[in-house]
Amino acid sequence: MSAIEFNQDFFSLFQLPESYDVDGDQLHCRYRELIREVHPDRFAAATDSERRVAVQYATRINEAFETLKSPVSRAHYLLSLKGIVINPQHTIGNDPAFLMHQISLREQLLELKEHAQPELQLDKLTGELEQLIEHQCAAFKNSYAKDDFEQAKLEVAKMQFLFKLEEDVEQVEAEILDY
Amino acid sequence: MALLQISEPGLAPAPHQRKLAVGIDLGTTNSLVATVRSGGAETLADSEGNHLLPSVVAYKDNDQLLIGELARLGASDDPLNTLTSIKRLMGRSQQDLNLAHLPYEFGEADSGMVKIRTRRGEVSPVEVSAELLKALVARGEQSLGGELLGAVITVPAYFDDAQRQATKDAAKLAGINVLRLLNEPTAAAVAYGLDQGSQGTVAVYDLGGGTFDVSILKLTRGVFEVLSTGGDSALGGDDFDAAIGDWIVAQSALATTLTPQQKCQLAMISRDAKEALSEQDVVTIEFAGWSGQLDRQQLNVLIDPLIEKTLKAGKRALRDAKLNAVDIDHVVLVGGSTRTPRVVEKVAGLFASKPLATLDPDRIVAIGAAIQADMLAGNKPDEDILLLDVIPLSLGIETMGGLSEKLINRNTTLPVAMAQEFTTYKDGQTAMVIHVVQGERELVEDCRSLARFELQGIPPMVAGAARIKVTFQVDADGLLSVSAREESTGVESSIEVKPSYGLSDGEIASMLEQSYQSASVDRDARALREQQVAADSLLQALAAALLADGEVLLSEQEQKTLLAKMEQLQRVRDTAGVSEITASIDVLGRDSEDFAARRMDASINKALAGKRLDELDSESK
Repeated sequence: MSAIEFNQDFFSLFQLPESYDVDGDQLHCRYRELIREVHPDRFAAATDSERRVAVQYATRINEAFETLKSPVSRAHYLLSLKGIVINPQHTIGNDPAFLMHQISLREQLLELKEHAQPELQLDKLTGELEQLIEHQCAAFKNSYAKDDFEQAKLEVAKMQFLFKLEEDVEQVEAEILDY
Repeated sequence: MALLQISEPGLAPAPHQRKLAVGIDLGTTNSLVATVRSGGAETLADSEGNHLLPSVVAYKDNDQLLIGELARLGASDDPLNTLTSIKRLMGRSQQDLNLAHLPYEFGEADSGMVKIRTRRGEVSPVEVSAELLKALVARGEQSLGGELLGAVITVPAYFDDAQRQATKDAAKLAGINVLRLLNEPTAAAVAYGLDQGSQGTVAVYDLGGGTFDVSILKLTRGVFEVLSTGGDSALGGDDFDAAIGDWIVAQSALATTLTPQQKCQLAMISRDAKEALSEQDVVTIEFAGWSGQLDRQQLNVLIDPLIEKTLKAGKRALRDAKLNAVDIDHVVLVGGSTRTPRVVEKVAGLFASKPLATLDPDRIVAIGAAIQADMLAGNKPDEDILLLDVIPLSLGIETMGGLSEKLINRNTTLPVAMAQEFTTYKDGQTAMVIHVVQGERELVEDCRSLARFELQGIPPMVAGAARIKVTFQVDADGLLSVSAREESTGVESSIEVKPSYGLSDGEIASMLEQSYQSASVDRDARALREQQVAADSLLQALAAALLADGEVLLSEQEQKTLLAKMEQLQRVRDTAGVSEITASIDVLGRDSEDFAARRMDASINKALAGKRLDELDSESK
């Protein structure tokens, strides 16, 4: 019987191979099995120390799940396991084409609200962004698989740009649709 | 392959020894208590056969206290001393509230929780709620014939930390062991989930008297995962009534300043009109010498803007869950305000699906809470239900320029923790203040201020040298605690975050003292008894744990040490006073934490042993 240690890495905790490809169903299923065992509700009538331990364990499993689920934090985490830490100031390197594209997308977003049919325009922008993100994730996966961590770092930084833009698009969407 | 059943440490009741636990729906307009008996969950009635307890408390002459229907009946004769819809004031300061519609007199406005002036003196919403909780627990103990192990109390999913803390304080004041604060929509889903064994995605639309919630949940083999939640903790049927009331005042061309009696009367008339229009097309209204008619069409005009607000929250919840309306398999309606036909019509339109309405919308939350209470009490070792709630509002801290930096995003599954490092900005700085806020907006002033806490004892260093790690932990009840540590020197200071409008432990203690005096209970004897029971249950739990796993998980020496510490607690329990017993319990609790962690690891390993991933995978299909 292999022991489950809670200080082991998130991939081992979820019995998944250390890879950028993660089967979402498998991840979710394993999450439910783990959280079922350690959720504080299972220890409602237990001693205080057991409850404290349960809260710590459940918190860690939730953190692991969130990390592996998100394409960006999964990429960061994979690199951190290789001892590579990305600081927030880390740049995308010398890639004027990417930057120009970003600026153009940002401009589109700014002009959205004045557009005659903002919802149509929004759909178009969202569609384009989704494709870019997909492409960017593939680029990271590629560099990572080839152990080209320097390149992988640049790809993560670009990925972050795109996801930040996606967040801002969602914010504008909320304003336009008036949620 | 079925999951192996592992009995919980310290949670293996002797057969047939059922632990008594109840679920309490502490509502804005009405409250209920429910329990699981002979297999089924049911709400409990008072001696007159009424299940709903109107959430009304009246402070009468001669220290007389009326609760429920009796209090409600006298409301318009004595509006200043008859407190209704108190839930809307929980965890709120005077600045937070629009008090115009409320017929009460309030204490001095300050940043603390609002206080209401009655002939009993100033009372806080926490005290009023505690009276309601006491009445419900008494009803539970009477019909179940014994003392309760504890209760699950429901709160709107959209309640923030301050409102949850206020609810927990009320329970503490009422002497209730809170097994869990459960979100109302989750409770509703549990009630339906068990009745119908349903799987899939569920939208719960909960419009009560004063609060509105919408939650999207995913049900998978007994796991209820909240995907997103949204709402408005100050929107409900009361606002429908107020809209009708405003209309009546406008129609009747009465003076706009009404007496407290008139305000109270107007609220009742408006509510009656609204309820009547659920059944009929037109209703005649008489108020202060004016008479007129209100039809359903006009009612719809009055309430549509309010319903529209709820639909927007519903759309946002869908978006947060990354789902479309067509992905929703079931819609569940909760709360008395979903009896209004216009609400049903609009909600059905939003989710493009006919809402489930087989359970009484007034009782469903209490039923769900009772099922969860029964589980938490350990009465159902064979059933495998797990409720995973989320934090409803993002948690952040104030940074330079009055901006909120989000640490934990809304809709993150609980429990969750997040650590953040801070540093000093002046040479020799020894203290700093961290301001915690809750809300989605960027500016701190647009968010809800939860607490400011001061971190003291930072060793003097040059600016930027200190590394202060602050950990924000939100537990399964949605309650926040904060701890801080200076990493370069290892000085730790743990701070429980006290909301500025919450009650301090001292205040709770003094309120308890007062209530004991008036009830002439010997408080010392009771406190001693409580600590002895706490010591007994810890000793029993540890003894059971040692018997089950001691040989395997602990070395001989470790077992001996733990046994000696247990004997020590036993001696203190038998001979010493309250404070010593409390301290000893704490010590033994901490000393046994490592053993608890090893047992947790072992039980997970057992549960997952021989269970390969392909099996887990095939189960999910």
